[in-house]
Amino acid sequence: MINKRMKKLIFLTLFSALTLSSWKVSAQSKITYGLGVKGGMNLSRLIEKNANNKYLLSYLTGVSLEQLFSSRVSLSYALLYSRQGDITVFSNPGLFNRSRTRYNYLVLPIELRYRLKYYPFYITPGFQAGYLLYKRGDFLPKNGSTTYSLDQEEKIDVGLSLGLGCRFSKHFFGEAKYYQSIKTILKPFSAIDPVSGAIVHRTPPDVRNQTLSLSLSYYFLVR
Amino acid sequence: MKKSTSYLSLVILILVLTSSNCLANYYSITINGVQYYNGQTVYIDCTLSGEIAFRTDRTPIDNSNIPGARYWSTTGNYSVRSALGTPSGGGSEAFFYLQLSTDGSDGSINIQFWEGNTAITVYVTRKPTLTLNSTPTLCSSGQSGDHSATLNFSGPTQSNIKWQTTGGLTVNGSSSYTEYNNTNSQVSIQHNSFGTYSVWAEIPGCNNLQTSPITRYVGVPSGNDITFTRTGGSDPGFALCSGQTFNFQSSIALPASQYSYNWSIPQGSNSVSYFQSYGPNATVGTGSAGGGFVLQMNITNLACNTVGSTSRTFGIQNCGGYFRVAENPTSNTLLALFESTDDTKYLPHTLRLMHEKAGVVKEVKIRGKYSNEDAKTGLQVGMDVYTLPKDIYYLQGLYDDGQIQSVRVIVQ
Repeated sequence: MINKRMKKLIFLTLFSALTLSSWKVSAQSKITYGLGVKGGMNLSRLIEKNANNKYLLSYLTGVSLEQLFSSRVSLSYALLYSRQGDITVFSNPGLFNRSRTRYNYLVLPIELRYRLKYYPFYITPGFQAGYLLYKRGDFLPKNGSTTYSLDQEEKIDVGLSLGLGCRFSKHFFGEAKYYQSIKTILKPFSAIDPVSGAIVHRTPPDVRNQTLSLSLSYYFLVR
Repeated sequence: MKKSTSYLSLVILILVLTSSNCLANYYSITINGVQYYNGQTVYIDCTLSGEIAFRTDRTPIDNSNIPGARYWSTTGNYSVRSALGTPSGGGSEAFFYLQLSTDGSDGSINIQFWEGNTAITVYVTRKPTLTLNSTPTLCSSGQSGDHSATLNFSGPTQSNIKWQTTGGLTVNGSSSYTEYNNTNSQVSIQHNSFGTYSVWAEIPGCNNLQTSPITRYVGVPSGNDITFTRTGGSDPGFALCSGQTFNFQSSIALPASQYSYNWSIPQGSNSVSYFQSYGPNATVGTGSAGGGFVLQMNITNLACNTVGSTSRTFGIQNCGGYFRVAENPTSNTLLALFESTDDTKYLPHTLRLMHEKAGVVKEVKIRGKYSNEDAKTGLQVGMDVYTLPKDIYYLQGLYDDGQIQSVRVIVQ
């Protein structure tokens, strides 16, 4: 049910973006483009059932393209290298008391930027797709090597975001954004029990990415 | 009404206790059909080699919802690999192979699960353990009793249990005895005087892998069996330097559950400036030169209430070698004036000047630079300090026995 609603939202976001874009272009009105760089910090964690994972502090960086339709409405596209993950503190510490997960994603966020009428702020709802480039897990404190399967996670992570932005000048745009996956990041489980020989299937645990990011974009090409 | 409330409370209490117990043991791994929870040890037959399969589980077991492992690691000479392999369809891992150690060493499997803050550690051992089942108390000389041991063991049938004695004990009339091809052994141990017996198992099928030995003391030690020696420096023998502190310790660390120590100074307590004891340790401060004292260590066998003792006699002499600082405070030279001594071995081997923050700022080697004749007349060693910043320093003499004499000095 939730997935259907999310799909509808993604569709609406993309549809609005494309409609705005095509309408403006067809109207031959003045569309201003801004190409720039974007960087910031990420506080990320995994949302899991029965777990209260701690945030991992990391960063994101990349390029951003802004398509300004008016002084109040614009669309932003970016291609970012986003470092995410979490810290899990064990409820029963033994040889190890916590673990650290690091996921490095290549993410493509698309945001609608809409300036509030009486305030200098923008609300920025958006959609984001990410491609998992790298994964690493470590038991802490480190004692030998920690192993894990690179097959557990889906390569593609999709989700929705909502942010609050501020245009400081013609070139600078700052933003605080919340992002969450709309479905589990884990693959379905299917394997043969090596002891019993039985085939075991199961739905994957519901584990989602959650990030809180603070970023600053600098648009050096504005026309 | 009251009765029903009480019953309800009892049921709730039982439910709470049961559920908390279930939560505590929620996650597990299953090896050879047995679930092992956090902190438990799995014994794996030492004759096995290669890999054995295991899977992650929880209580109650639900085959349609096996908990997946997020991360895993091992310690010791063990390794774990996922049974899924590639391509597997991926998914959260639940089936593994454990690569067994080839040297019989101990290790552990550590697994963190998805959906929770839980990680479990299950210890793995290839060594069976031996337990002593019967240990009758033997107090009087000539007394004997039957002792038995069992190997906690689920492996090959071939195992030998070995017994060995020291001192005045015998096992089945000898100093050693071996029970072949058995996991139980019963022997007769005879107590003639203080001694020990040890028992361990040996598995021929695993390159004579031995279990950790169990050793027990019997009787009470006397001066022939036990003594005490100095700790924190070489043993001084008979002669102790005056004005110093010496730590002594029992030569055998007898178990506190079986024995107690009692230290005393039966003679010459006037020559002792400080005396304190705790268990097998005693500290004695020596008084003036020319005196002497006897230090005695009594040991009580708590089960038999029998006492054994050993003692040493010490004389006190003036070793000298200590220094005082002339011209303190000073701005040019620190002068260390040493007490006269017969031998340079009583002098510090090094004099060093320490600053609280800067550490060692100057150092002078004493050993080898002066003769015994110089030491007899009383040495004077100077150290230039006029280049140093004005502050508080510590002039330290480092002695062979590890002692450090420290004098606070002011450079102005």
